[in-house]
Amino acid sequence: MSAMLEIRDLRATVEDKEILKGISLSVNPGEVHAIMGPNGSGKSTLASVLSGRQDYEVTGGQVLYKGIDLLELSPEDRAREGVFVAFQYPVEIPGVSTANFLKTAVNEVRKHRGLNALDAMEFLKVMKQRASLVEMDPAFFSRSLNEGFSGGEKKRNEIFQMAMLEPSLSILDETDSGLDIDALKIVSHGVNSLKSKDNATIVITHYQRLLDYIIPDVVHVLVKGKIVMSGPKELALELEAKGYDWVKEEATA
Amino acid sequence: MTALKQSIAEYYERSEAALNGLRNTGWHHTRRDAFTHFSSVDFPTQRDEEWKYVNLSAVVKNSYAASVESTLQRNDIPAFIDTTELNVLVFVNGRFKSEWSSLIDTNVQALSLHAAYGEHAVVIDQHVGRYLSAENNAFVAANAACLEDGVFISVAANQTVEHELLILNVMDAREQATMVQPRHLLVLDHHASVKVIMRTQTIGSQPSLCNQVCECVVGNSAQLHCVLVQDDVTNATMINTMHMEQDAASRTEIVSTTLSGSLVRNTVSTRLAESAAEAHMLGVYCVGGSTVVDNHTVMDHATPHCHSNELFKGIVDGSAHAVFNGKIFVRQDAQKTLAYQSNRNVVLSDTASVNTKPQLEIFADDVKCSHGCTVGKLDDEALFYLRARGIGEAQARALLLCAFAEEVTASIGLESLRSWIDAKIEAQLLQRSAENAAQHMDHKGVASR
Repeated sequence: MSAMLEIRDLRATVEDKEILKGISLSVNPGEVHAIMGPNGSGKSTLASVLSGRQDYEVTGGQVLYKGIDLLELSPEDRAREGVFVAFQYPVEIPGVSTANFLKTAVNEVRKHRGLNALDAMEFLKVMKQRASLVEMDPAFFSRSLNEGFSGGEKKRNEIFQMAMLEPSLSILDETDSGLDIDALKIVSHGVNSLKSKDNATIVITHYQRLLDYIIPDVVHVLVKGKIVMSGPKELALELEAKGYDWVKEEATA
Repeated sequence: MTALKQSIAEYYERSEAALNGLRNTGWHHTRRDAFTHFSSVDFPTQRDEEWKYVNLSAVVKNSYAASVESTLQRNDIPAFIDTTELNVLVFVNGRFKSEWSSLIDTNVQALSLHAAYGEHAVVIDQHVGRYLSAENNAFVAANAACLEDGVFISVAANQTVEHELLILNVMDAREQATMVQPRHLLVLDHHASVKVIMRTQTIGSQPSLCNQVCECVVGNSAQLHCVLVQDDVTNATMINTMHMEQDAASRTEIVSTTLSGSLVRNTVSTRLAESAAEAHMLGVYCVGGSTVVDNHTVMDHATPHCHSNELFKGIVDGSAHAVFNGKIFVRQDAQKTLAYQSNRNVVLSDTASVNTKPQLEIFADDVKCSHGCTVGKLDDEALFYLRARGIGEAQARALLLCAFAEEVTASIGLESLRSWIDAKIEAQLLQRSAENAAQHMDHKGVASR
C-alpha cells in the first residue's frame, strides 16, 4: 500500500528562522495520526506549510501527496486535490455569506474533479445534511463567514466545511483550542463520522483530551521542529500524565 | 477663453435667439442672469481647493456640439435593466425623446422640464436656481445659462410613486464631441415618495460632456431614493451637481455607483432645513484604467434632531484616481445631530491613487459625529482562507471585493438594478484580474529572457 502523504526531511523557515528541522512522516489511507508537542515546537508551522501559506519558506525536503509534489501546488489546487486544513484561527470575512462561499468552493472543487456543479436545491440539501453533523444551525448559512461567530462556532464551521469539501486528507490544526467539552464532543463526532478507509486525518494538538474522542492510530511527538518519538495512542496519555519534559530529555539524551 | 467656454457662450447666444415665447418669462431671466455669472468666472483649475485633484484641462480645451439632432436608433443603445416595469424618460443629445419614454404610474407628474414650463411655470421659477446658485460656479452657471431641458418631477402630497423613474440621458458622440446640460427639478410635497434612477450613456468615441444639475425639494415627511448609474465610455466626462433641500422628517437616500468613464465628478449636497430630517449618501466606485472619480459631498445640518449618514467605498485599480471630500456642517442650532461618515478604499495597483478628506465643522455642542477613512489593500488572510478552500485567486479576489462593494449596493431598492450593478462590478474585477495576470506573465517572460 502506498502512503497518502509522505513527508521526507521537511525543513522550513519563517523570517530566516528555521522552525521545521527535518520532519519525516508517512500517513496511509484510513489512518489517524496525532501530532503533539509543546508550544513553539513547530506544529502549526507544519500545518501552514502543508496548506500553502506563503509566509513560510521551505528550505529542504519533500512532501508527496498521492505521489504528487504537494509543495508545487497553489493553495487552491491543494484544496481541489483533496487536502483540507481546519485552521486554528479561522478568518472573519464580512459580506461573504457562508452559503455563497461554500457554494463557490464546492463547485470549484467539483469542477476540478470532473463533476457537475450542484444546483441551488441540491446544494441546500447537502448543506443542511452536513451542517447537522456538527449541529450547526442553518441560520448560519446566510450570515457573513465567521463574522461574529464564537470560538466554538468557528471551529464547528471548519468541520462543516470539511464535510462539504469531502477531502482525502484532513489536517486539524489545534481544532480543540478554545472549545468547551460539549463543543469538543460535537466537533469530534463530526470528524469521526467523516472518517473512512479511503481518507486520512492528521490531528495537531497540544492536549490529549481531543484524542479521547478522535482515537489516533499513531501519536508523534514534535519537539523543536523534529519528531522525537512516535508510538501508539497510549503515548498521548503518557504525555498528558508526565508532560513534555521527559520526551525532551530522551530526545537530547 | 477655453474652447468649452466658447462652445457654451455660442450655444447660449444661438438658443437665446430661438427663445420666442419665453422671452419675458422667469425662464429667460434665469438664463440671462446665469450667463452674466458664467461670463465672469472661469472653469475651475487645480488651484481651486474644490478641484484640487481633478485636472479639467483636457475637458475644457474641447469644443462641443450641443443639442444636435441625432440619428441614433433605439437598438444603438446598450442593454440595461428591463424597463417594462419602470417609468422611463429618455433624452438624446439633451432633447426629450417622447417616443422612447413612457409612464406607468398615474400619480406622478414626470415630464420634460421644458414642456412643463407652461403649466408649472410658477413652481419651476420658484425653485430652479434657488438651491444651486450660478454665482461663482462655472458648471452650474453654464447649465442655467443654457437652460433648455431636463426632467420635472412633481409628486403630490401623500402620493407614493410605485415604480422607479428612470432618467436616461443618451449622448451621440459618434461624429463629433458632444455636450448635454440636463437640468432636473424634483418637487415632493409632504408625505410624497419617489424612487429615481439616473443614467448617462455616450455612444461613439468622440469626447462627451454631461453637465447635469439637479435640485430636489423634499417636503415634510417625504421620501426620495435616487440611484446614479455612472458606467459610461472612456471618453465621457460627467459633472453632476445635486442638491436636496429637506423639510421636517423627510428622508433622502442617494446611491452613486461609478464603474467607468473618463472623469466623474459628483457634487452632492443636502440641507437638513427642518428638524428630524434624515439623509443618506452612499457611493461605490469600482474603477480602473485612467478613470478619475471625485465625490464631493456636503451635509448641512441646519436644525436639531437630524440624522445623516455617509458611506463611500472604493475599489481602485490600474492608474485610476479616486477622490472623496466629505463636508459636514453642524450649525449652532442643530443640537442632537447625528452625523456619520465613512470612506473606505481598496487600492489594487501601485499606480492607482486615492485622496480622501473628511471635513467637519461643528458649531453645536450636543451632537454625535464620527468620521473615518481608510485606504488599504485586500486582506491577505481572507484571500488565503478562500484559496485554501479551493477558490482560485482571481475569483477569491472578486468574491471579497464584491462583498466589500455590496455593503453599498445593498441599499439599491430595485432588485434588478442591484444585481445588474453587482454583476458589472464582478465582471470588471474578474476581467482586470485576468489582465493583470496576463501582464504579470509578460513581465516574468521578459525577466527570464
